[in-house]
Amino acid sequence: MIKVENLGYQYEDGTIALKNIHMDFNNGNIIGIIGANGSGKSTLFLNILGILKPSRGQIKYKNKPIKYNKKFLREYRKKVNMVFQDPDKQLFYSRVYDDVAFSLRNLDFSEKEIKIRVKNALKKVKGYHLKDKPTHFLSYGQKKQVAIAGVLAMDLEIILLDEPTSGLDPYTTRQMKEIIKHLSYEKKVVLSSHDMDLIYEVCDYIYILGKGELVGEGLPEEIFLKKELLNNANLERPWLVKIHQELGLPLCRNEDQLLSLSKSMKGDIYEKRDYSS
Amino acid sequence: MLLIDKYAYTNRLKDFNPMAKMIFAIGALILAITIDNSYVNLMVFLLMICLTIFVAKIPINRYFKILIVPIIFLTISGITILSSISNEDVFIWSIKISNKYLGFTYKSLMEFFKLTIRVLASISSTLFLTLTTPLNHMIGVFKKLKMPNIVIELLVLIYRSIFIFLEESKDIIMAQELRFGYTSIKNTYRSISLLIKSLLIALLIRFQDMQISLETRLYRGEFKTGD
Repeated sequence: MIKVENLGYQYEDGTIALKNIHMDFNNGNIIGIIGANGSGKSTLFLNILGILKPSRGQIKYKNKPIKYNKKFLREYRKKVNMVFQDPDKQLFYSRVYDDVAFSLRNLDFSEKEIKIRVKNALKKVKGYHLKDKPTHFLSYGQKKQVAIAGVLAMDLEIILLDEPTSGLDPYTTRQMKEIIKHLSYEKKVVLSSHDMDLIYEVCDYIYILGKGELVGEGLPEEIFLKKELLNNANLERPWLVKIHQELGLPLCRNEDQLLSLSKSMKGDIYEKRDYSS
Repeated sequence: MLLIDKYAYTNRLKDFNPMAKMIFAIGALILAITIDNSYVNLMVFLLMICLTIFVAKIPINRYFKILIVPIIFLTISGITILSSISNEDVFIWSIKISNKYLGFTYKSLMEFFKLTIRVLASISSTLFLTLTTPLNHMIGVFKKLKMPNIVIELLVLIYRSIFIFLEESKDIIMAQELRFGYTSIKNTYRSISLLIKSLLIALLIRFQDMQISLETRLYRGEFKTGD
């Protein structure tokens, strides 16, 4: 649905943030964008949202280049929107309900409709019990949930998540993983992260950015095998890939797969022993 | 985190009808200001203290800690009302400074007591409201009373910004303290100036980020607060 064509972006002071970026978000349902700090991930997201205007190339939505007038961007952002890395940046109200309702009220929905949508959005992120809480009483993880709900309340086609799991504890990270998977059933998810394990597990197509350029792309089970490429981009292999390459275990997509595999292997060993004795 | 705010969301009266609480507290406030009777004021004061401490269960030592600030102001203005200067000793208690007398009369003393009790009654009514009613509930009442949207908008934004500002400054102060920023007067001055500088920069950066995120959330110049 979204295509990035030959995108280049240069800041006012002349630093080149992005160069010759080609991306096609039809390549997968959950697209992962990875890259070291300062590799241009956030700039890319702001370009896709139409906040920054590319110096070269273009962003295409439904095969038409996006326009930079207010009316178009308003319609565009009803369908394509983003959850920021720092939830405090996008929480404006001191009541969770009002904050989730913010974009809906900006779109002049009726309060009745808003009530239903806010409820659904908060339920999707497992945060409905937070409805009446003051924002400043929430934990960081809860703020992130609410920030996602605020964007989900609009009926999006594509949702961009900037580092959805940074700063979250293991339990909340797992929860976030589930939320992302559920989101992908009804919309396209594009996420950036430094958590290679997360990206490897949930994404079905990966783009790697290095110093503003696209240095690699492909399916996760292929691209993550390229140790050299990842090292050059200051990234790392997911642990499942490491044990595959270093210990010779079969390549698994997630922990459960590996565990069930090792169980059946153990079973083999015990059985053999039983026969020998 | 603000103490007052914390209690507003956790006290035992938090879910009590906010409109009723507001009418009650503001009614008591008006009573204290308009009726010139110290016994009524004393009654209001004692009633409000009992309600806040025993019914809403605000810890008693915290309550008086919150009261300290207005009491300081009260004392300062009290002293100026109480004392007067005269050439002759017309006071019930006085000190002589060269050939003049500084002291207070029976009348000024009575006036001081009257004023004190009236101020305490007003403050305790206001505190009852602020300590038992979360601001989010008060906003709901303001909406019901059809207050202009711009006022509610300001209230909502200021209230949220206070906490963003407090959190930001708390982190900076803690970081400075951990690196011995407040060990001497000289260090303290320097740390405070750095604090102000970093807060200003943080403010500008936040403003920028907020604009971007407002734009993505389809903001059109008005913070809507619903019905």
